Amino acid sequence: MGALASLAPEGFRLMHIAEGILSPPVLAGGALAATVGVGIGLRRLRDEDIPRAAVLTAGFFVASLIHIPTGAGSVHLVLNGLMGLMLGWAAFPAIVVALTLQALIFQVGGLTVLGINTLIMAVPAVLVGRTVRPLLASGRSARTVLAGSAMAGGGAVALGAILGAAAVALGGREFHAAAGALLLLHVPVMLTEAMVTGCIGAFLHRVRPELLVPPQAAEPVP
Amino acid sequence: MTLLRPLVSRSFLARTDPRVRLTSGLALAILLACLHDPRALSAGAAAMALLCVAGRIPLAPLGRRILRVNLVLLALVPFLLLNPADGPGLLPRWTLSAGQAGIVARVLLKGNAIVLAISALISTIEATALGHALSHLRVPTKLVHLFLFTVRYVDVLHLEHERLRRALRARGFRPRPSPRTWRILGQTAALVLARSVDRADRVLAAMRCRGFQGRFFLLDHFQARRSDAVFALAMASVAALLIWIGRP
Amino acid sequence: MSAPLFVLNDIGFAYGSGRRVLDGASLTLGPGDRVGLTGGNGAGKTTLLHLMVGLHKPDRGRLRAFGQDRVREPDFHAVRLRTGLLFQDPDDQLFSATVGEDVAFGPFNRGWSRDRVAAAVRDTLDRLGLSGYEGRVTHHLSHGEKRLVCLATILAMAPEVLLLDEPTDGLDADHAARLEMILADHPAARIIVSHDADFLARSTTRRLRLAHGRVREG
Ligand SMILES: Nc1ncnc2c1ncn2[C@@H]1O[C@H](COP(=O)(O)OP(=O)(O)OP(=O)(O)O)[C@@H](O)[C@H]1O
Ligand SMILES: [Mg+2]
Repeated sequence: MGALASLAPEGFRLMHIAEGILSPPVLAGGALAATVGVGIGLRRLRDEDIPRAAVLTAGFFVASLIHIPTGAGSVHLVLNGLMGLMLGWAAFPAIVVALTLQALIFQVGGLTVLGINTLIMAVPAVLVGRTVRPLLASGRSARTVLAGSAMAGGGAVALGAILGAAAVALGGREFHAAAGALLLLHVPVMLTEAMVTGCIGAFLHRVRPELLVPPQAAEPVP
Repeated sequence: MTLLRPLVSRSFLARTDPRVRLTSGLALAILLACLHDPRALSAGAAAMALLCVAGRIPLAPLGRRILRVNLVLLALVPFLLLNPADGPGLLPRWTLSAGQAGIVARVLLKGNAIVLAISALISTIEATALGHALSHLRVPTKLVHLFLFTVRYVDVLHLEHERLRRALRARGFRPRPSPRTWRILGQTAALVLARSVDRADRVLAAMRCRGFQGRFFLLDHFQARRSDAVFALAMASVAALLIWIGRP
Repeated sequence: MSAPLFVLNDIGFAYGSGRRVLDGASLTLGPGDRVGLTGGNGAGKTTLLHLMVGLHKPDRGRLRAFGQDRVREPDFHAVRLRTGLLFQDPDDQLFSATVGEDVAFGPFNRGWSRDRVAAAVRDTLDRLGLSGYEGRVTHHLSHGEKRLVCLATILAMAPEVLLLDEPTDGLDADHAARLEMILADHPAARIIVSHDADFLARSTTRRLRLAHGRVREG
C-alpha cells in the first residue's frame, strides 16, 4: 500500500492499495466508477488511435520502472499526471491496462482492487490534464512549462494519495490512522514526482512540443 | 530479458482453458474479498495454497510475491492498532481490543488468500492468452486490443530503455540524489515516451500498408474440453464450501 | 510491352522544412521487373518506398500506380492492398499478439472470407518454412524469425509488387538463403533496397542508385 511500498522488494509500485484492505462496498463502488471512466475513455478513442495510445501506455509503463534516487531510498515514477496531459480521457483505459500488466508482472494481487486503483490514478490524471494543459501550449516560456509539468506531476500524485487515503478510511474508524500515514508517506513521492515530471515536460517542450499537448481536435487520418 | 513472465506451471493448471482459469480466479478473488468470517477466510487461504502446491506453481516467485504482500500488510498493522484519542488534546494510544485483532486477522487472511488465488489461477496465463480470454468474456474489443498492443510493445520499449541506460552508464553516469540526476532521468523517461510515439506512428503506417482502415481481428484460440468443465465445477464447489463456512 | 505498375515522374519531397530528400526522382516499374536500389545511408531509399504507397505525399511530381494517378490518401488504399512493403524494422510491422493473427491481418483487410484467410495463412507459413508458427507469440520470436514472419504477412496478401527495405539485414546465412530462395520463386515485380551488392546481383536484374535526390541507372 502506498509508500509503505518502499519496504517491499523490487518492483512494488506506488499509489496502489493492496488486496485484503478495502471493504466490499468500496471495492464495488470503485469498480463501477472506474468502468464508467474507462467507458468514456474508450468512446473517445477511435480505432486508429489504438496503436498510439497502446504504445504510449507501454512507454509510460516502462518509464515508470525508472528508479529515482531520493537520498532516502529510491522511488518509482507514477506518471499519471503526464498521462493525463498526453492522453486526456484515454488515460482511464491506458491506466487500467497498465495496472493489469502490473498485477501480472509484479504480482501484488491487484485484481479486486483494480477498479479503485484505476480511479486513484486516472481521476487525478484527467483532472490535472485539463487544468494544466493551458500552461503548456507551444508559445509558453520554458520556465512556465517546467512549473506546469511539475504541478501536473506533483498534483496528480497528491490527489491520488488523497483518494487512496479516503478509500482506506472508508473501512471504518480503525483504518483512520493508516489512512493518515498513507497521506504522509506520499509527500516525498509527490516532491520527487513533481521535480522529475517537470524535467520531462521541459525536455518534451524543447524537442517534441506536439507530444506534450496533443491537438485536442481529432486529426483526420493522413 | 522479457518483462512479462507468467508463473510457469507444468501441471493441470497450465492445461486448463485460460477462460476457465480467468473466470474462476476472478470469481474466487471477489468472493474472498467479500468474506468476513475468519474461519471461511482461513479455509479459503488454505484451499488456494493447496491449489498452488497441487498446480506446482514454482515456489521461488510465489514466495516472493507472498512476502511482498505480507510486508505491505504487516506495515499496516501498527496503524490498525493505533487508537484515536478519546478526548481533545490527548495522544492516540496503541490498544489491542478483540475488534482490532479481528480486523488485523481479516486483513492478513484476505490479502494472502486473494493473492494465492490470483497466483494459481490468473498469473499462470500468458499475457497474450489473457487478452484473448478477456475478449471471450465480452470485455470491449477496443480495450482488448489496447491491452494486446501494449503487451506487444512493452518489451520492445523496455529494450530501448535498457539501451539508453547502458549508453548513460557507458559515459560514466551514476544516479545519485541530485537535481542533475533527476533532470537526466527525466530526459530518459521523456525519450522513452517520444520513441514510443514514433514507434506507434511507424506501426500504424505499416498497418495501413496492409489495408488497415480501423478494423481489428482476433482468431479463435481456445477449445474447452471436458477436463475444463470438471475444473470449473471443482472451483465452484470450493466457492460454495467457503460461502457455507462463512454463513452468518 | 504491358502497362507499367508504377511510374514516378520528377518526384520531390522534404521532411517538414528540412533538406530535400528527393529532388526530381523518376522511376518506372513494369510487370516482372526486379530492381535493386542502392544509395548511401540517408540517401532517401526508405523514403522513396514509403512515398510509393502513400505514407508520405510528394510535394512535386506525379505518381501513377496500377494505371491511375495517386494523389490523396484514399487513392492509396487500393495501392497498398496490391503492394507488399517490407519495413526496415520488423517490430514496426508485427503488431499482433500471435503470428497467425498478424499474417491474417492483411488478407482480412482485403475482405477475404475466414476460410480463404485461414488457407492463405497456412499456405504462406508453409511456403516460408514456418509451419506450426500460427500460435507463437510474436514478441518472443528471434530477429530472423520476425523478418521471415514479416515477409509472410506481406506474401499472404498475394501482392503484385514487393517493396523490400533491406530484407536480409540482420539475417544469418541460412535465413538469408531461405529468403533469397522464396523471393526467387515469387512472381511479383519488386524493388529491393540493400547494401549487399552480391545479394542484389543474384536476385535482381536491374540496378538503380539513389543519390542527391535522383534515381540513376547503375
Ligand atoms: N521522419 C523523419 N523526419 C525528418 N527527417 C527524416 C525522417 N525520416 C528520415 N529523415 C531524413 O531523410 C533522409 C532520408 O532518410 P531515409 O530513411 O529515406 O534514408 P535511407 O536511404 O533509407 O537510409 P538508410 O540506408 O540508412 O536506411 C535522412 O537524411 C533522414 O535523416
Ligand atoms: Mg532506409
